[in-house]
Amino acid sequence: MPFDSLRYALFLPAATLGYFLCPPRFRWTMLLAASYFFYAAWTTGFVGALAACTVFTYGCGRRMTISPTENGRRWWLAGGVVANLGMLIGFKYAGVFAGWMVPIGISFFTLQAVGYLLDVMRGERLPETHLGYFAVYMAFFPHLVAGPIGRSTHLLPQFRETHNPEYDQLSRGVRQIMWGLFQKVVVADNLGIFVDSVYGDVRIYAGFPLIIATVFYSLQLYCDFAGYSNVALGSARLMGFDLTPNFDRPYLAQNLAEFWRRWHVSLSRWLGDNVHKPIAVALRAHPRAGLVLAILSTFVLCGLWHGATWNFVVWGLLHGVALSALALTGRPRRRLEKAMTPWWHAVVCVAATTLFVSFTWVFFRTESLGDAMYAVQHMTAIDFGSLVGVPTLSRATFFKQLSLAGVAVAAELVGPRVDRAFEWLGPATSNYSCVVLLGLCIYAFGVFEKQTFIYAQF
Amino acid sequence: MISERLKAVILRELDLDDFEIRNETTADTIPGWDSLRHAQIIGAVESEFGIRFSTLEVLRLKNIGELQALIDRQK
Repeated sequence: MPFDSLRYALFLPAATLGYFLCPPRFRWTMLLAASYFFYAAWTTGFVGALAACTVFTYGCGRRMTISPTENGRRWWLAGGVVANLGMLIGFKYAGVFAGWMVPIGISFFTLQAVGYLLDVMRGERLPETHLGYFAVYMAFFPHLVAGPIGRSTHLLPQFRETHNPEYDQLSRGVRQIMWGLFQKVVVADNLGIFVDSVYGDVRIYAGFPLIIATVFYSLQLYCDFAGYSNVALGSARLMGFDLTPNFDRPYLAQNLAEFWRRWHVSLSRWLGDNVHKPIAVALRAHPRAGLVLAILSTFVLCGLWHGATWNFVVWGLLHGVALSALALTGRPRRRLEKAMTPWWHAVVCVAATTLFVSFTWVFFRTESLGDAMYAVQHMTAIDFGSLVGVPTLSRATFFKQLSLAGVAVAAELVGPRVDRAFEWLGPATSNYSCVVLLGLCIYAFGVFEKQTFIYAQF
Repeated sequence: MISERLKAVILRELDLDDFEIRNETTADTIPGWDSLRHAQIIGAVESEFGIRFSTLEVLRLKNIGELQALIDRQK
């Protein structure tokens, strides 16, 4: 049941209504039933995988506190981590070679389960004692398929709270859902037409088409995933739940470390807390080598998490090497910053970071390393006669896509000022006008052929 | 109460002239203390006080007050 489908448009109001009509102490059963129904509508065959992951992780968490010794706690932690990662590796990686279907959302719910166990081990929270609340935390439909990966310290306690329907929350939720759908159906899917035309047969292109397709892909990927996340956050907000925002205007980051604090925030935090930090701390006796090893391991894992291909490994390595260089050049960079005017420094840093990130997306988007290397090598073969140069697209279509790319960039730049404008207009006027305007834009410019969310495939 | 010695190590490692550090101050609220510098700062604190924490002890720290308490226990 994709977020941009008619079925979800019917399911979400029904689930929200059902949630509020249910007596508070039974709401978790209502949410659990709705979430498993939602999951079964994607794929009925793998409901058992989600349920098994939930029950086993819950059991390991409980055993970790009952166990009288530190060693015992570590064994239960190891058991839970190995079982969850084993399920992920078995289905997603070994399964690919064996030709199995991959349970949707497995990359997200297994990481969430492992994160929960590590939170318990670090003493950040006590294990959940109620299987029902834990099962809802694992299966909560807004974040089940492609995140945001919920931190147990932030999300789990919310299922014990009583939420009442509030106009402000409902209207902000609807506005966020509409904005997410606009980002996905209007911006990402329109840009995707150009990107697919070029990257679908990359070896017949050179120069401008490759450059434009790469820039468009940077925006398409962002709007696609940020759009998904906004629908997820908006859906949860309707029922009074607060999910972790996954994006914070990432293309305005002034360096790569900042980019990763703004891009796919829930995954970055998960990797930072559970992979990078433990390795870096364990190897702190060798500060530089330990730090580089921790960064490279984290980003190779990040690449592999997206898929078992060399393209993702190279993409992760590129980010790891660049971030290592950044980490090892802290003092010279701070001296450079002091020597430049703040505005000029910000512009240069944002441009350099965005260019680097866009360049690495070539490896993310192409089907093979050969295609990626072809695209990189032929990007600079600029021919001014082929500014657009995609034979299957009309000039009007291209300029429509260019305008939508402009909208995506403008939305990044305007950002928080929109909220101030909404406050000035007043909640009722701003919400109605915004929802109607976005609805009209989606109707007029949306792409309604079946386009799956990119991150739902991971 | 955060000791002047601990505060001095943190400020030195982060190239900060001054910053108010209290028991409840968390790493992410101190300018420049990010995941890339975390292990380096912990290593510098260990060198300064001549002690060694276990990895799990470091990962369980929630704020600077807990770091100070860990130092006081090991000294």
